[in-house]
Amino acid sequence: MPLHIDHISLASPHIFRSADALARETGLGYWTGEWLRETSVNIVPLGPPGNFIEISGFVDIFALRSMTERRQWLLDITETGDHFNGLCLGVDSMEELEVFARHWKSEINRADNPDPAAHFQRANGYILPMASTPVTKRSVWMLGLPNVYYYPDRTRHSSGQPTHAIPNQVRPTGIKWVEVGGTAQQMADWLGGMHYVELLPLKFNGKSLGVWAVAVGAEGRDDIVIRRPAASDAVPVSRFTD
Amino acid sequence: MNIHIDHFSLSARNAFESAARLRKETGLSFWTGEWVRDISCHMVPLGNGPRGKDAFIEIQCFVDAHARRKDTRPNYRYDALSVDNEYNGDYWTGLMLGVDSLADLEAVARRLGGDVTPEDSRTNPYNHFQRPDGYVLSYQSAPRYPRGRPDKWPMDMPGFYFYPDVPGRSSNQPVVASPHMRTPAGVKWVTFGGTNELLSDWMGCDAETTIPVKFNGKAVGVWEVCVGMADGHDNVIRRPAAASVIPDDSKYRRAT
Repeated sequence: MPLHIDHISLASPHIFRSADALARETGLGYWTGEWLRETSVNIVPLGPPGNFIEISGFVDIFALRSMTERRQWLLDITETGDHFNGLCLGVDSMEELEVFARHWKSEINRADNPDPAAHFQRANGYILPMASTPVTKRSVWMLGLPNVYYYPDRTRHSSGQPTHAIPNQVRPTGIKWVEVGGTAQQMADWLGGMHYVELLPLKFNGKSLGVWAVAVGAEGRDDIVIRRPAASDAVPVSRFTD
Repeated sequence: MNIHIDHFSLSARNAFESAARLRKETGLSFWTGEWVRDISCHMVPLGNGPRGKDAFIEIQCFVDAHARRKDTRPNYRYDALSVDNEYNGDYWTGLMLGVDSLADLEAVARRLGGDVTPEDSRTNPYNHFQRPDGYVLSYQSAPRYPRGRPDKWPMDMPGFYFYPDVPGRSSNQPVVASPHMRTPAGVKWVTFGGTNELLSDWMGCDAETTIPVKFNGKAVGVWEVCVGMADGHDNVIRRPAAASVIPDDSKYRRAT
């Protein structure tokens, strides 16, 4: 696969209540137990070729005794409920990832970082190797922009793990489209060319930057459209222009 | 009345980290995803043994930062967990005893001057533990003190529980398979603060001959849990009792 959508992050004030609500709304199952530092994600696989939503929130509120800009942002964007807070693109090789790193004049968060605390861990102890770019003073998610990931072990990708069985569960068949703020030109400027934008199933709504809706195919029923406001609707990206 | 050890509450700043650390320490694995109101639990089944049957540890943590920050009432668990210790802030916050019928539970509540919590798991599911598969855990507990906890008893005296659905109990759900996982074979003993006289008065029977408990005379609450293992040496899980870092519990005695 060339550049593609890998996953979408949904920031939540309570990841279990949000996952339960999404499951009731859509019939999409999820799995639990993955965590990184003070946050955990409930993972909602979206079907082939391997996409997912990560419902992310704080599970160590004591970490908030030491406030950072990013923690404050996560708190602020979840103050009024769930908000989409990250569009995460994917590539299939380190070489492709390095192209984006060079474009952004950035380093790469390396998948082989030996510090286990730097990686997502699962309930079975598996530590998820994952490389990404750009590496910036503050996450580009806070500006409503996507970053890019490469997973060296695709067999353990979050999209392929079994979910809890839920009542009236549907079988997702993949992302149909993602509605984002801004314009195609703004996205092209960020990614380094309109040819990248044309690879992605994006619809642009002209609103503030970030994800606003995700449409997922499902076996035997109409597409599922998950609408939540973008994080930039709660905290304008202009807060982070310095 | 058959009173037995039902489960233990281990409060953590981060249940995900705490459960992973406990598994490294003991080989005891867990399952994830149960939650109620603003907390979630990782469940550690402890197996079945002759005196500590069908018990489990619930490793719980706050998962709703907003709810916690907005709630200005004194919170015993939050205040205990705020105190650093060598276990990243883990504290035992409960010994829960089990009885085998609602009639037994009602008798306990009457004796201790409290109520039994209502069984409203079908009409008020968000007030009960629920699991990702939609299962809402039905149980009742006692004593509930609608007008606040009596001064006579320390905060961490054990609660009593009745679970009508034994196969659905948290102890009977499959754990996540992981490397070096071990097989528990039931609770062998628990070390509790205070004295046998105090706990016996609370239980309405001789505690030491009813459950496998030892006393260390320290602050009331759990200090150690010894788990027999089917595949080798016992595991003794040591964490401080929450009461050890709460010198004055009077401000927490609101209605439950």
